[in-house]
Amino acid sequence: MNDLTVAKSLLKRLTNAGADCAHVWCVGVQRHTMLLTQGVPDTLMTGHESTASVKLGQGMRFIQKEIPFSCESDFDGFVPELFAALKDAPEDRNEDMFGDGTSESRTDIRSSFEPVQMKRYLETLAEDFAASGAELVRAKLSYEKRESVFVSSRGEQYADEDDGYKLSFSANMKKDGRTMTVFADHAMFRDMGDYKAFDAQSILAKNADMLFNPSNIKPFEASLIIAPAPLYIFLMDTLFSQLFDDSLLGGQSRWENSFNKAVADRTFSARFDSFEEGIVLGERITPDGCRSKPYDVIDKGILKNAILSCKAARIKGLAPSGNSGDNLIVEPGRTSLDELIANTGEGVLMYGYAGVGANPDGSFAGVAKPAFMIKNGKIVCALNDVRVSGNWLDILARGSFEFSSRRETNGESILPWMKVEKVKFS
Amino acid sequence: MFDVICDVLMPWDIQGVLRTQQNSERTVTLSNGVLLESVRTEKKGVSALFIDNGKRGFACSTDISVHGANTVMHEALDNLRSMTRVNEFAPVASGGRSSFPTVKDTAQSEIVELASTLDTRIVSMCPKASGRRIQIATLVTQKLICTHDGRCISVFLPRTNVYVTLSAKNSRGESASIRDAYGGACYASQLLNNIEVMDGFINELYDDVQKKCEASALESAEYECVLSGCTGILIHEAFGHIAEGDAVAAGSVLAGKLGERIVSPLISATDFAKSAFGQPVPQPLEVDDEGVQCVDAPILEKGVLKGYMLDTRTAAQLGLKNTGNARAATFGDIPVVRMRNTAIHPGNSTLDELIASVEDGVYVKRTGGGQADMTGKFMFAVQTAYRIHSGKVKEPLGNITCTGSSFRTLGEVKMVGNDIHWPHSSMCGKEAQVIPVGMAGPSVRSIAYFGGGERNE
Repeated sequence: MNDLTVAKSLLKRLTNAGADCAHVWCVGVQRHTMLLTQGVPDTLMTGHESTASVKLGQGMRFIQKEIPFSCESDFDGFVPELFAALKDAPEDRNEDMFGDGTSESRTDIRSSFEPVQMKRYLETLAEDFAASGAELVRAKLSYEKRESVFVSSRGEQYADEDDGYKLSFSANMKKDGRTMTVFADHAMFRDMGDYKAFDAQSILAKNADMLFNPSNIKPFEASLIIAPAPLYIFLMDTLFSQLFDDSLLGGQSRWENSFNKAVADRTFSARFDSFEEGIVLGERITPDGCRSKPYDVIDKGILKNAILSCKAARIKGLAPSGNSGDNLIVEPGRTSLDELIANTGEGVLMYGYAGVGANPDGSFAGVAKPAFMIKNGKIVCALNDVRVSGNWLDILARGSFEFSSRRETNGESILPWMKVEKVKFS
Repeated sequence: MFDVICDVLMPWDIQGVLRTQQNSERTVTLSNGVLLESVRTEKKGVSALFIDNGKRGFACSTDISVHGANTVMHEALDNLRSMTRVNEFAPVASGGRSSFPTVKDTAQSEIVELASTLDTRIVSMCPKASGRRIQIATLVTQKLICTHDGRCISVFLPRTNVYVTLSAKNSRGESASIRDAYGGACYASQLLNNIEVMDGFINELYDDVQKKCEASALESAEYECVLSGCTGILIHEAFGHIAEGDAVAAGSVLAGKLGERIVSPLISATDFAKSAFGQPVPQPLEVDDEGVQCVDAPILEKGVLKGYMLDTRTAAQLGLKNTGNARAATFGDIPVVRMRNTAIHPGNSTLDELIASVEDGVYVKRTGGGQADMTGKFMFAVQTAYRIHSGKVKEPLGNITCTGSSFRTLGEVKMVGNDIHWPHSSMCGKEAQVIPVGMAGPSVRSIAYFGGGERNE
């Protein structure tokens, strides 16, 4: 019995029991995970989880609920429970809560669970780090196969199968009795052979030795070159703090009246797209029960769309978002990363960031770590606890930034490097 | 249905645990009185974990039945075998059983009513608020933990968190907002029946957000400070995580420093199991998710490193006693070393005395999220802060950030307050598992680096 059969059966039970509008979407995930501790694979985990999400409307009442299941009989008690809970639900129904699913099926399975191969992969990763003088302290490699199906009482039907690997790790180096985490990464990929350390990792590896002797700085203003991982934190916080349900409904957004107007320089285009090549296990069905679709947020600096649920979109009189804000894609620039560095008189190269990505007013402050000083186009030393602060709404509007021509993907986003001028460091 | 699982786990001659767990979550969100979200989620299933000679086999399933339990048990054993290449483990004599805790379901209408009632109350109490958001999140965790040596322990932890965001605007139309949480180990209905207990919390939030509208940026620098209402997150993020056994085994900065004086002698800290300072803690635990008895884990005593937080593997690795700190978020998660209820012990000074002792500094009243690395460097967002001049609380500050080294900040503590409270709303994420935790601490006078809060022009 597959999840589509289960979803159809549950939908039939709901309509037979008196629902006049219902959606059922099931997500089944098979996951096999291997853990490595201090260079040695030591734990194997397997699991299968199936969850059915239901939206149910009867008269003006509406309810949404999830239930994990292993077989159809799990719904025996669930359906009466759901209708009982519906009696307590608020009168809040609106047709746009019931999505706009399109009938379609798609299967994209490219791999399978191979424990011996996974173990060998982790051992090889540990050997690679050992060869560069580092110890792979922790690693987690999962193979995940996912089936998403969606059926509605309006006759819509959608099914999707995909799979991929998830890897996260951290590796330490030791020098003069000190231990430092110099490599840490996470990524998703379709095949174990696909994973390549990012530019950030390889540049970090080249300059790892400097990290043991970081320099302190005095407050100054200079260029900031941001790796894709911290850039993701900055951009997601900025977009969500201005364009998500709460900020728009709560009147907090500085961009509330800027739709179809410029909010950034024309070199900045950002969109969400779970189907882009390079994205692994992207969103297929939104929390609203709609099929995910790509959509532009900012196109050549012009604000196009918010990140809104169906209901918030209805209240604001805007279009609902195509997905819930997963899988950010930013358009590249024209300059290579090497040129961005070479063209920098004085600046900071940021690989990681601990801090606030963006507050509702656009302000941010935090610590760049690992970070390196650039002088006259060359990386000269690592920096100790360099604090960085500013305001993202100003940076985007001012346009004093540039993106690299090459982008990197970690399976959940596709981003270039970004160089920003006149940033404050202390 | 859950009880039958007790009979499935044949006692074995290796350490193992069969865990059935149900996490029932309810989330209701109101934004300016509009119901945005009303979601009920249940995650329930069964998992098995076997541990032998440092290797682990784990399996889980949503099939809570004798068949499902048998399946995960044998899959977990197979997984362990594939990691150890050991062929057989032997069952031994049979053990006892317990019952899965029976709890009442929370009606969604109760939570919606709590949100609406609170919203109405906020509208009348905060007439100048330009925006308000209320999110109520309840989590009821039920577990039955059956161990290889025949013990069955039931666990029941209800929790209700009320998150309130208030916004206000100044005469120039510039806005500010603050988010804070109120909660407890209770059902939503208990808060609904006693809603006035939140009045003080709302009044304080309203007062602070109005002042924050006139907030200014802070020149980035190291300041003397009074950290109040945030030392729980400081000890948790900046010190607790590096004292977790897996971090220590991986070479955290605390590795090999037991018995060394590492922070101010005014600082003592413990990860509590069931109660602290004569009161119950937010996450009282009898046994952890490996079935091991939970005991208090002293971390710092008068500034000296006394111990770590450990599970079975890390206790064996480090040659120390297991403290029962293995916790899993859901049935499908393998237990990892986690904090339970971590707190700095209170001192003798009042908050007023701490503030009065600072000539020029920062008073941190309310923080947002935070993080720390394995070297003890920490960062947390500050939602509410004020400058201190000549021992008095003065102008409000914007969305600043506090950073520093836990060793320096806790090493430079000059005074410790006698105030301590457990927020009951704290959550902690590690290895993609988010669990409720307790964290608390008194106000302290110390130093830290502050910066940020730039308004957009």
